[in-house]
Amino acid sequence: MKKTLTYEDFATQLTGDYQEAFGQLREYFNTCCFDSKTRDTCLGDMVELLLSAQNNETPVYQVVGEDMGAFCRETFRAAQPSFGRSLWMALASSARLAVFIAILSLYAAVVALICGDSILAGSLSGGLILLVTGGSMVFDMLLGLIQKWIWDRKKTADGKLTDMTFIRLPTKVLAIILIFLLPRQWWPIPTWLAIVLLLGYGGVILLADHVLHKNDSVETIPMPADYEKNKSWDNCICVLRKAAEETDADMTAEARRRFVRGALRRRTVLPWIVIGVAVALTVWSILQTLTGLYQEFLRFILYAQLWLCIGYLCLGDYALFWGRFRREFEALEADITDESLLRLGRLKNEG
Amino acid sequence: MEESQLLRGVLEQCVLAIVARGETYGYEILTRLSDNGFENILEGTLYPVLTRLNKRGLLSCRTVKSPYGPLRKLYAMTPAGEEELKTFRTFYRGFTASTEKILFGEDDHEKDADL
Repeated sequence: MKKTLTYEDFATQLTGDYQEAFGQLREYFNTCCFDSKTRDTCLGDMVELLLSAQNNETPVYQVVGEDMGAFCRETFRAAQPSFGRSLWMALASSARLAVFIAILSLYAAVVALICGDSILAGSLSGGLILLVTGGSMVFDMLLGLIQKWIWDRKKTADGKLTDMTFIRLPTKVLAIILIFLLPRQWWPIPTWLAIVLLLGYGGVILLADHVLHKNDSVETIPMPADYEKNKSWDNCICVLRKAAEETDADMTAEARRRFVRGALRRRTVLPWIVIGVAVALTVWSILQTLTGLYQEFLRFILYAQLWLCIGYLCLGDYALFWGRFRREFEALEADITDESLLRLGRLKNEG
Repeated sequence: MEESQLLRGVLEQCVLAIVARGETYGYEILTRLSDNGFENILEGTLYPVLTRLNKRGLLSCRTVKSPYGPLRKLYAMTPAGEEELKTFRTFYRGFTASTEKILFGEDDHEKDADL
């Protein structure tokens, strides 16, 4: 089968200074450009430019200038879509997911109606679709801002990064619990069997995760004293710094791989959610035997929460993503005069 | 003197003028600019300039395969670009005439002559 060549394939033709310049540019884009299409287009253009320069024996500093940081920054700014377009793309993406989940949930509500269950479920589902797909965006933005506010306070207080899972995880767990709990009475299997299956599933995933990542080295995050100038550093920047400090290209790649593995591992919240569902089901079963008087009212409340939580699940990542993007970009702005990025200037002077 | 600032101010129009002579690509534009005294101000500015001109509809862009393998962007003038260049040329002639008059001014010559 014919392989479609990418800029990476052509970048292997670059040598010496040209290779180094491209490596730094790629590092910058990989760190601060989340839109892969934009990144690939821009890096493709840069490979072509540098290859042309290399083949015509034009010194690299005549192409990128003496300040590699400025070159990265200007190129990135030029390639970056406008703020409004980025916002629209992110919202459109989240909205598509929200509509998809809403349709699935509506299907569940219709099934409930056909089965003769409370008509309340159907009417609530239909009405809340509109409410949630629109209103949850505002709700979620607020949540994202609160998260960012807490994170900013925490990381400057003790100098370490605080993983936001302490807020996000319980919220997601709650959302999934509600989703699972509501149609519980329509499950074809007994509650105890569902609990056992969920616990087992969560346990298997946790175990697999542990086995897969047990040899991963833990990223050491430098204290602010190490980098006094940077008030807004974070994981990405630390990895970039670390990569920049390492002269061996393989070590740089390894540092990035470690970071990606760590990020993936932190996102593995599914097993905890599943276990949370199982525990909640147990509690719910007990509560249900104790109370039965306000069941319809309780169902109304739960459905409202369900839809809000679905909205959060759909859009929660967006808010955090945007916050991270802005922060990383700002940090890079302050950070780009890193010693390693000035190497090209020295090469020129030595040349 | 902030020579580079002065050159930067006319960079967009210079790029337009180069492209006006025929369809061309980034490296070639860069070479022509360097040959004409712009070598010290190009630090990362050419790509943004080309992108900006393209977004504004002053340049059109198509891709072809370069001799070295990757796709190459070829830029060409659009009617809007031609109009922009024409307007700027007219403005620039008047501007430089006025500037020269002040910098190397006739008034000074007249004063010198009087003395």
